[in-house]
Amino acid sequence: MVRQQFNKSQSLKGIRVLDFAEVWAGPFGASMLGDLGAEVIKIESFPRRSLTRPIIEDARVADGPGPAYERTTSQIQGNRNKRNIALNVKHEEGNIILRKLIENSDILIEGFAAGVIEKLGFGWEKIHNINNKINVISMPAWGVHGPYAGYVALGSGIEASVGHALTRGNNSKDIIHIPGNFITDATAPIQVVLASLISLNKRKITNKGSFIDLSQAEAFAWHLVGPLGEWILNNRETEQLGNSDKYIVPHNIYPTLDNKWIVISAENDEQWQKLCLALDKSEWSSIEHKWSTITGRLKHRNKIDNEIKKICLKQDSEQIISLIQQCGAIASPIVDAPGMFNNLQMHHRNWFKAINLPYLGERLMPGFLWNMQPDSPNYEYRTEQVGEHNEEILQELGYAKKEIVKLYNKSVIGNSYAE
Amino acid sequence: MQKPLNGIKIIEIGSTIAAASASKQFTDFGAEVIKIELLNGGEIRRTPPFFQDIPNLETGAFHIALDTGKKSIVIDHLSNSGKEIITRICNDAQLVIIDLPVTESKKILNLLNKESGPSTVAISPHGLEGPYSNRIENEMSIFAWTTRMERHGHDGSEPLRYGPHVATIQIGATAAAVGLSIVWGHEHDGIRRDVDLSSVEALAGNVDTGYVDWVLLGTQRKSGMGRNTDNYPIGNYKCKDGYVMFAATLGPQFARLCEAIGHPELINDSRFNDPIEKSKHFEDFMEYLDPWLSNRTKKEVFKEMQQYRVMVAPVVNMSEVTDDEQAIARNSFVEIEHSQIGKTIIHGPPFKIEDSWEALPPPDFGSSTIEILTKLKYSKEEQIALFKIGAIR
Repeated sequence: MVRQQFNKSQSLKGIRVLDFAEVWAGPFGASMLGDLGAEVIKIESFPRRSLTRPIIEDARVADGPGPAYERTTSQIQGNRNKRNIALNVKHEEGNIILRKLIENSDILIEGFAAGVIEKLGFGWEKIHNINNKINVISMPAWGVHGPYAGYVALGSGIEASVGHALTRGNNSKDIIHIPGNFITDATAPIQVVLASLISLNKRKITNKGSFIDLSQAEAFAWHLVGPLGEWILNNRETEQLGNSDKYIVPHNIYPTLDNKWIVISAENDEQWQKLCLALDKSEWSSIEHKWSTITGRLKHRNKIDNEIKKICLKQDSEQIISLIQQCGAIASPIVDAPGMFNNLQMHHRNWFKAINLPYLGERLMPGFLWNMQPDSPNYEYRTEQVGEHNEEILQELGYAKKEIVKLYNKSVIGNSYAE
Repeated sequence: MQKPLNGIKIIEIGSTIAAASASKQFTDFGAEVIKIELLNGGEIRRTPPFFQDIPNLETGAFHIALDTGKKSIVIDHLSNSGKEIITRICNDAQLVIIDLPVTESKKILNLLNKESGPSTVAISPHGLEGPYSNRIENEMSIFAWTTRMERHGHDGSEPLRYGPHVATIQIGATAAAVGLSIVWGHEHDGIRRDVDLSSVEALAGNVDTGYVDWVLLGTQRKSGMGRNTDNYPIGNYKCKDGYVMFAATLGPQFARLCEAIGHPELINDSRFNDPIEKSKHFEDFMEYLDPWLSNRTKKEVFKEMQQYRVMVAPVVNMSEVTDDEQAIARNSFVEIEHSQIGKTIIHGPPFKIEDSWEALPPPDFGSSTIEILTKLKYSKEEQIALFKIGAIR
């Protein structure tokens, strides 16, 4: 069968999304909808600079000409595949423009702290009155309702508050040294895509839009099946096991001659046998050897780890990983960013995308979370600049060029921030 | 109650935690999910913890939480007879989610009707084709390929994975998101789609990677959220009954924190209002913060500081999470009935949308095998023959 080819994904073609969110989770969710073919418009804060464009002492701003707020990594990373209108929604005329955008859209994503959008005059009731078909996703840290509504956090606080932080680490009592992470910024956008699609499917039944209360805490919490299971089924807390596994030996990281860390694991007797072959220690897997069984390996965890460590310290990481993989056990490098860029598989799949960024030139940006046929995702829009599509979007709403000039003059819209 | 995905039929193949996490996001919203299980129950039923620590295909936490509301049929997918059943089950579905070793996945995908059959999502470590496609990986080695493990070391020490299976469930949720979008697409434009989801790419392509920093800045940073005595407070701090996680280093955040602890004068104190000076006076600042924290529980710190909009959160364990007032107010945990252990608790919906989500009990192993074969018009004799040769159970 000859399949039609497309230069971008089409599955959500015709779905119009308003991205009224800042920082990472909301904007990236909107980008993923754009990756899937939805038409996404970012309503960028104006004249207040968006929080996704922080210019602060340790901010990540790439070197280059042009305004710094166009070079922040968080903005460039979290905002592909959407158009941008920079709109002062507090201005009466900006308010009218937002109303018109709402009239024409299927989904609105807002990521303010609970209660903020109501203060802007666009609570759910109001939006639903403007367009009763639109689905609205509100995604504060701990949700719209409940005693913590309105509380603020970054991902590091959210994941600590649902029990993830205490499951990480090396059984250390010194909790001070468990670093936070931003996994909720990765899990919430996935649930934004699902919430959008669930609400579109629901609309087919009810013919009305829905309100979605997306707590970033809950959108992540259900990933903690193991720790919750330990507590509910066996009334105990999960142990911090670092990189080891209570029931698999070996399952750890090991230092190598070239000063790298690598992962090695053998999940069953067969993989253990193959690992032993790769390490030139076949005797460890012969039936007479006490390490040949899983129970024996569990009993001698530390000894086995030490023996593997000794072997690894005598070899370069690439050499030993490739040998173990060839024999049929688990071994992988623990890559940093340049290491990830050297991943031959990702290059084979053309994962990295050469994108020409304003002020920064061509960069090999990350590819997509999935590969799809016949319509693979693509960078239809690289990260947009502030107000880059003001004219285009306003003309589609019926504004004449002269009116648009007046809107600029009155600072209802803009295409730059005071630095 | 008519649920959003009523009428949509999904087939899950492979018995992995990732595939089960993916199809859970369909079944709880009303889709019919048929779970084609491996003869030995696979990863989803064999992964601990188990109820009362007794290994049992029905009582593992992952199966209980992630197989809600599904139908279970057990098929030997390696046998020709088994493959034939699988093709017949799949061909009237909207979507097949498959997570088997790559060579096995490809064989089954090739059998599906490419003209009128279901859309597909194939989950694998590195993708279905390419030089690494047949590498053997587990969750930790996949995670290691994505920069996160390297960045996540404690204060720059050894690399560290996240909590066990968390990354795998994220991969499954990613498969659900793209899977539901291609079901929508197929219904609206008639194009069936095949997704090749590399687990490494699903994690590496998400927003919290370190790659973008490197490609734009030319430098790499560690997590940045560990304890930092140059710019503070960030990371975990001890209080009366445990720890709280701060992210309150920046101008307005730091100012609000100073107000919250009753020391607004520190905002303009020359020791703290200049980055270089601030890095020299961590101990001085702790003389103000420590006493305030040590007199308060983590919940008190959380609530009092949030009144000042300071980004701080309690660092809690599971007993505390299930008793948390926000979780109780929002019904963040739900009760389900289990065939062997009775009532038990799992996490509630990932987002709240009225009258749409319900977690039904998980199926016993193979509990729908005969029902599904009968529906597919396999005769009694054929069913016995399939059972006798071990193609079903």
